[in-house]
Amino acid sequence: MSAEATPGAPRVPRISVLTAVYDPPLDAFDDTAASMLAQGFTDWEWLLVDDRSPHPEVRERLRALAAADPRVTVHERETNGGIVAASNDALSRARGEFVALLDHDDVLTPDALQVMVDAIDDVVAEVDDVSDVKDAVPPERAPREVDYLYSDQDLMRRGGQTFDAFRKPDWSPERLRHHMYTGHFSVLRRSLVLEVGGFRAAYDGSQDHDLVLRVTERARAVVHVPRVLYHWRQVEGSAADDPHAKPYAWNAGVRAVQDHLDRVGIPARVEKGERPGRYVVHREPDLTTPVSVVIPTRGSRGLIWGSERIMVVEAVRSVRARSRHEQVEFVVVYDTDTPAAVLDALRALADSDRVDLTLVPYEPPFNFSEKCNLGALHARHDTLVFLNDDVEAESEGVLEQLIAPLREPGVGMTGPKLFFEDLHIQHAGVSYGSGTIAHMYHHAGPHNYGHHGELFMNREVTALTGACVAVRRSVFEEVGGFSEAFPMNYNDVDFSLKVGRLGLRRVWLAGCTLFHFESVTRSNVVHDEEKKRIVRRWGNYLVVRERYSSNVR
Amino acid sequence: MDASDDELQHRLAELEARLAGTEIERAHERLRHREYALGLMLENEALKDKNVLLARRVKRNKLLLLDERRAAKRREAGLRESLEQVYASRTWKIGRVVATPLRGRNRP
Repeated sequence: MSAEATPGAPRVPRISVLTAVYDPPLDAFDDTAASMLAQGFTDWEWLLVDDRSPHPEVRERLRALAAADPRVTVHERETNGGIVAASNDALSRARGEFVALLDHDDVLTPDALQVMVDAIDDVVAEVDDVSDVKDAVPPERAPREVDYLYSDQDLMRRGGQTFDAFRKPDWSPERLRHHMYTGHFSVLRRSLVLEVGGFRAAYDGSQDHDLVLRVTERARAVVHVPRVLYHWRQVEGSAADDPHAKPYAWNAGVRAVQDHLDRVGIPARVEKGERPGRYVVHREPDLTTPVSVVIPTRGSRGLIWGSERIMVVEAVRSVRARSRHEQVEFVVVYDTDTPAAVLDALRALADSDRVDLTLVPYEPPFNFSEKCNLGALHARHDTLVFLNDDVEAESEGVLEQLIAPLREPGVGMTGPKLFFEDLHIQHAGVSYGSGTIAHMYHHAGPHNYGHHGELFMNREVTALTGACVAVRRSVFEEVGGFSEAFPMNYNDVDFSLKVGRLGLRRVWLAGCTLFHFESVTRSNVVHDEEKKRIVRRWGNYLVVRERYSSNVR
Repeated sequence: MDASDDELQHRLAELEARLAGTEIERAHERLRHREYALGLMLENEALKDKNVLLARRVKRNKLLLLDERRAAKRREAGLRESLEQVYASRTWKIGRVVATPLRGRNRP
């Protein structure tokens, strides 16, 4: 949908590419320029602002470029104002419907602009073409005008070799609060950039992160293009070469994320993360919303770290001990053949530790979903946490952390990071790809950082394990609870997808940790019928209706 | 409180518990019905999605084919253009006739 031309008015290009230039290595800049001029898509203008580069060769290069191609415009600043001032100068001269941000040493692939424009046009057109889906998709899930696009990226050495491709997830607002993962080359609707006030000087170094946070707060649709469309150049002094090169940018990033959280009304504190450019969001713990913790059990015992324990008793004890929350109710749904000693131990725990306990008997045959549903129906409170009996809380404030994000509109479910007994990863989100279901990073080591740090930051995932998950009762009821058609497996994946179908996000919390002694209590057998049923239900749902990319998340 | 009052209290508690149990059973039934209906709808949607995916593949293949045809045309046009440039720059002598070969049907 290009802007319509008024007769006699100068032609408006579809995309204005903005580049602030300050003393780049000339060979690197030549590559950037060559990659821009080689674009297959031609309806662009390139606005270069020289921020008073000390080397006169830079201006000569820019002037030569402008002389060679009428689509190139160069503005020379009288004084050095920094990247924000230079970028705003470029923005103020832009005329395109969209603006694209291009660093002065990054290299675009020849089809970069074309692919972005195709994605802009495609987002509406593709579904419009197929009336079958148009009728079936609820209006709130219908495709909208896209306001922001980003792509995958990789790094480029001085010699031109590319490496370390970053296959990014689809739109993940929670992750953006922890990492400016969308990268340099972004395409934004110009009217929206102007509406939010362009680049801001107080965030110099992380001005793009700040801008993208403000734009996406208002964006109607955000599109991830799952292709490497630019190469981030490793030049001396750049963050690609040395992540510690720009400490001021990291500080500015903390401020940008903090400001964003304040704007959208999330009570939280932001800190620097494990590595430069990474952030940790500490949400204010929710100590006031009453919680019901539902635990299905059959009273199994297990040998953990060399000692025998009654699993469910230790689960309740550890969660209670590591929570400051006052209004917590535990609803334990037990098989009727559970040994009396287990129930006595639970009652004793309730008396001694003043645990608010409800015991609900359940007649086998075993159906995990039915037990969870019954527990939820017996629960008194409107925030529910489903917990397996073979877990132990590890981090402090497990419950408060789990339920805090549920206050944010748009968040449907949360789940923690789960460890095996030996601290290897048991749960870091579950992926679903047209029938293939996999635990991400299953059995990865405790210090595994994950692809671009994703094991150390909160992020949206496709599904969360039912071993520990928090959800509001209204959402639980809206989706009909856990499907009892999945008595053993995939009930959690199905539940997550149903929540996602409501347009709600499923957020995995990296800082909220528990042990999950999986399969100590029951055998881990996947039934064929359950496998077939999940495909029958969800088939290609994510690809067709949610436009998931092939990148796993 | 005499014995009959105790008995009444006990029966009242029993009835309340049964009522609560019945309410939970009803709520459970409602939840199951909702889930069952949703499941049917999802299975129906999944069947449609299969067709949509097929339609998209067909559309993509058509576009690819179209792209190929366009590319072929471009190649052909490029070839013709370069030939025309060659023709325009030369005068060919065929036998005793001196002519530019673009005269005739190839002339734009």
